[in-house]
Amino acid sequence: MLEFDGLVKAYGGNRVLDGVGFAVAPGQVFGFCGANGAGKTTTMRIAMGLARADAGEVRWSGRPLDGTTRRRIGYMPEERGLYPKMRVGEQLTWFARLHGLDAAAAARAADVWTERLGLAERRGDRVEKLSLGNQQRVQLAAALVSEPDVLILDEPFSGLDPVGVDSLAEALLDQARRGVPVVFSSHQLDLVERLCDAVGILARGRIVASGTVGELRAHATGRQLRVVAPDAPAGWAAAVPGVRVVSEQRGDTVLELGPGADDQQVLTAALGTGRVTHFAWREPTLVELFRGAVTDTSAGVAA
Amino acid sequence: MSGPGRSLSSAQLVRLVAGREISTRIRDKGFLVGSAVLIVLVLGMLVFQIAVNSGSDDTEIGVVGVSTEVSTALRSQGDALGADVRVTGYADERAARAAVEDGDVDGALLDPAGDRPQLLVENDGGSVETLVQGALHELSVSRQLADAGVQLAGPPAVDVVALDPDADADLEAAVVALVGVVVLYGLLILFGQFVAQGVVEEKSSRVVELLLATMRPWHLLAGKIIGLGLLGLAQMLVIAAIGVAGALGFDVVDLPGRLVGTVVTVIAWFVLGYAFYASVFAAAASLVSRQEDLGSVITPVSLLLVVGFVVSVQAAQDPTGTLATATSFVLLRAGALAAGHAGAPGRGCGGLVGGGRRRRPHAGHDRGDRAGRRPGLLRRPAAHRREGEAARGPDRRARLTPSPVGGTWSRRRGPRGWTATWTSGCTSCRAPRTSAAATWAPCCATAGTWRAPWSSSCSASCRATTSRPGTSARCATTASRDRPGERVLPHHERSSRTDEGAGGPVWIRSPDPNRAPAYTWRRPVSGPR
Repeated sequence: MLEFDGLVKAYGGNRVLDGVGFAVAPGQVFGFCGANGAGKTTTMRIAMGLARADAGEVRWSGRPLDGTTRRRIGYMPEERGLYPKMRVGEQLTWFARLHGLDAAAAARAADVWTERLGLAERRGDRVEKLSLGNQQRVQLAAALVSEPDVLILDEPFSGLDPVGVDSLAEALLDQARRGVPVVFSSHQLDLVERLCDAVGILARGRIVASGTVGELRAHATGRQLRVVAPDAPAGWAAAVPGVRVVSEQRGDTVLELGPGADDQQVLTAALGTGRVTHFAWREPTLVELFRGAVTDTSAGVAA
Repeated sequence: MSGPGRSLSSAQLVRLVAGREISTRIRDKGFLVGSAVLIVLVLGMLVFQIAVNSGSDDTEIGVVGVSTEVSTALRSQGDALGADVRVTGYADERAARAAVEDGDVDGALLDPAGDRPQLLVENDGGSVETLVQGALHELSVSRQLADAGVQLAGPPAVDVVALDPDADADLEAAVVALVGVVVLYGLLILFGQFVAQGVVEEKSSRVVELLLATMRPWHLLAGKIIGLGLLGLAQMLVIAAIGVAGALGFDVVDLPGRLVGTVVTVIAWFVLGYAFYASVFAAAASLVSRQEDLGSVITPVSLLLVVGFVVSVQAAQDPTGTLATATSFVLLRAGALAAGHAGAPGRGCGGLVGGGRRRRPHAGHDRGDRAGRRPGLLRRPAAHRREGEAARGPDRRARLTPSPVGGTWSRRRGPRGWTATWTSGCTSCRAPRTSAAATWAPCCATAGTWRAPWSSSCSASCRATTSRPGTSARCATTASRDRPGERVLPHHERSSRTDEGAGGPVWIRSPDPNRAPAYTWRRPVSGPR
């Protein structure tokens, strides 16, 4: 279990982190969301020992992280860090060796990861010659090449094309299947929604919402029902008890059902107007949840 | 924690970082080009030295109706004047005239034995005139004395006391030290920059974030400095090897022992100077995070090096001066200064220089010996001093072994005066050279000290000043060798006398001008004190 516990960090008078805490189980993919400047990168840097927390600690298997355990973490910094003049293959081999692999195993791992991330043909090229997207892949390979016990990735998907996103996502899920806890931050919430077992939303220095996507949805206020009845007259649903019309446009109606409202009653009312071509619960996307959580001033939404 | 990796020790991490520095830098085009330029510079310096020194100051004199007597007289006169004289015989005046006009000879002497000898020169007699005048004058005097029935005894040898026998050697030492300082300075600047660039590269590319997640900052710094340092050391060794080999191969330096000593010292100081400057450069570079800002922090450090360099150059010219002594305690210019010290004889760093003190013969000495029958007449003071020192240690001298390697001393006029060079093999008859460094002879009674064939003094603690190795040459053509106590014919007209120094036995030339030149062995005129 990778635990972030009560992290506090202030730069001058600016309290960037104000008690950030969450836990990632082995094999779990944890999506770390938050607005720009919310403190995601700072949290990860504290975990990697690159910044010192004013309070709180990060624990792995119940013990605070130190130099030895950090060497078993695969890390991908937000600002990419590679030697521009070093060749891809050599660079990966070298990073693997820094993490404690012997020369042969390191070379093998570098080969495997360049292959998996579609860089096999660029092994002999200098990193600076690669496109940004490919540099990104090398960066990821550098985090993965040592077969780490924990993965902490800061914005791993930014700048990748869809194919790259897919291969990276596949690689992350593979790692999770291996039992590695994976923490990554991203602004691509659809991806987070697709990949993550758990999500944490960071705002104003603390986790304002965390849990599985399902849990977050369950806690979201109000449920919406979309009904398409082409022949229905305007205002047809207003009579159904406990229902509020969110929008209505040429027979396409979005309704918000309050507590105790019956969806079957809505269906009956709709059928009463004529043909019904669409009747379904509309699940809030993570984007909507995110907006709700971030704009919500009350910090008590967290699950 | 589980996983395939084992945890690395500090030494392993440092070694990994150092290995990366070496392997990336050694394939860097900039580095390769820079190294090549540096090597070319060193070679260029050698070639320059050769070009400056090889300006032949042989005086070529053509003689019509040449005789051994005349050419010997011309040569010994040349010896006295400090010029190597080469005599060419011509059949008649026309051939000689043509030779002068073509510049083959500096002057042509017509009818040397007659009453009105004539000297043909291109435009101005100059030194040739003086030389010929002197030679003919001497010939004439000895002939007249012989005609008058006067038997010439060997002239007395002059005892000379040397007050500063090292003065001449200091010059060359300073030159060698100066070259060392330049190379040292260049490499320190170069590798200091490498370290600074490496630090900034890691900061600007943010790779340092990845690295610091696996190691502590000092691992990174140590690995970087050690890796680049090893590379610098290797480069230094290559340059030193090329420089030394070139200097020995082209006979630029007269003192191989001291040259090697200085080079060793320079390398040793490179290690210390580099460790210091690399750390300073790295610390300076860590203050900025972009290559563009590097210049502003590097400049002060580089200036520090430049100041050290300038002071060292000053010090190299006067290694015993107050400046050198005072600043040698300041590490800031440690490396650069040390080379200056290494070159200076008898200074604190001497231990690193293999004790090489006063190995080089004095320029005038050689001449004095060749002109053995007329000591003191035209010798330079240095020659006197050398022989005087020999005279003061008769019991030591008795154990001296003459150099077993054949060869001759030759002189060249350099930009800063005369220098003498030992050439193995015979320069006159152009017999093939033997290896000059091949044989070392025991120098004195002090155990374990040896004298190099080219050496004129004991290299070790006893400081015995030996007589310089004789000019006896094992000539490939005649294989005759002079030995004291025998009367021998020289294998050729030149340089076949042995002189063990003033106060010791000397060879004198037969005074009879009508006989072929022969040399007899005489007891010294003045006994040792």
